[in-house]
Amino acid sequence: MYKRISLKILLTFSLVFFSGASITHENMPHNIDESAGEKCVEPTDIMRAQHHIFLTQQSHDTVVKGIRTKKYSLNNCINCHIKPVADGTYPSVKSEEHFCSGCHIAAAAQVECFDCHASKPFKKVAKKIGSLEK
Amino acid sequence: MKKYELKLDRRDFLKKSSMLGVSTIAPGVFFQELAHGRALDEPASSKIRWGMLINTNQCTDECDACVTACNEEHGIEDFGRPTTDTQWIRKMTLTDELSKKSISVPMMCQHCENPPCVDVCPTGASFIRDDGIVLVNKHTCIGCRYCMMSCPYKARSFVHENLENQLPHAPRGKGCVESCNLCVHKIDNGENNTACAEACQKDGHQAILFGDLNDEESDISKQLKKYATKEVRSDLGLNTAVRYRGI
Repeated sequence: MYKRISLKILLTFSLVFFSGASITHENMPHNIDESAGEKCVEPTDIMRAQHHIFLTQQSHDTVVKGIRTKKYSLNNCINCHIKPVADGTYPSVKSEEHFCSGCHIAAAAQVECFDCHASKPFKKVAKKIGSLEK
Repeated sequence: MKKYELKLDRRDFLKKSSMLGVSTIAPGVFFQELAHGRALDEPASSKIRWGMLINTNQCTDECDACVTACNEEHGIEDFGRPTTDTQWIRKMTLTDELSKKSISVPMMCQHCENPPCVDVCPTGASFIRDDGIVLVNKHTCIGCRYCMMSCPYKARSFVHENLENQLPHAPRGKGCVESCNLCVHKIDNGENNTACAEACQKDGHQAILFGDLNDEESDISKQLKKYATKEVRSDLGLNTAVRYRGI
């Protein structure tokens, strides 16, 4: 069983590695809400390589210990990185226009965070609709 | 005539004078800390044990404000399938066979000190947080539903449907078990009240009181000392954090 899992991991990494030329920072969609802040919580190369580690650590701290710091919170990422598309709605997590899905679809690395977590900023939607005041 | 002597050794003097200093110099700071709860980067502490006191004498059959508030707070949808739809809090009606007197009882996770759900969980996803709240870590839950079978209060639900548009403070998804979390996001943000208790207070019933069971000065502790209260299925020795009056 472990052999099969390690093979899968190896295959995924090699796929990501060899197709790396097409997944560059430049040709990925960058639909960031600049009004939310000037820069990310860490430099881009660190975020690109380690965002999942920060998020896993944060999820443990929040769920188990009750620590709710904003810096590495997934909601904080979403609030900055997800910006409305042309028609004013937020992109679906299934589309490449979604900041996370842009890379994850290209790298064929399935992102499961949004099976449970909100994939769109909530407060901004609430303001537009006006009825979901939270 | 009795002579009063002031007996203070060095240690006592320092202790008392420092306490006096805190209360005179910075009373504002001290009270502000109490009002806002702990800081965002501070973990939950075992000095606190959150609990609830439900006064069924003040709860009415027709009102379901607590259930609606809970569903709104956590984005719980109704799929029209009452046998499998998620419910974190539900209203039960108990009728005495002799007198036919009915009482309405809100029932939810009782946040036991010795929770059976935690005992049976094969992955450690069911756990008690340091402040006594029984939670499901949905990152580790495999959806086996042993906890649902072990819970004597039928407090837990399994999510059967694909969910969309979850709220940022309440991540929920298909394949996980969930139950009342005492509005843990509100507690962590220092609000120290639950959606159901707030709704009940707003409706003027005041049937749900939320507070710290370890703090002798809290309203809930005072009421627990003053009135006769009951633990549902106290025979199981679970030492629940949710207590009832009038059942």
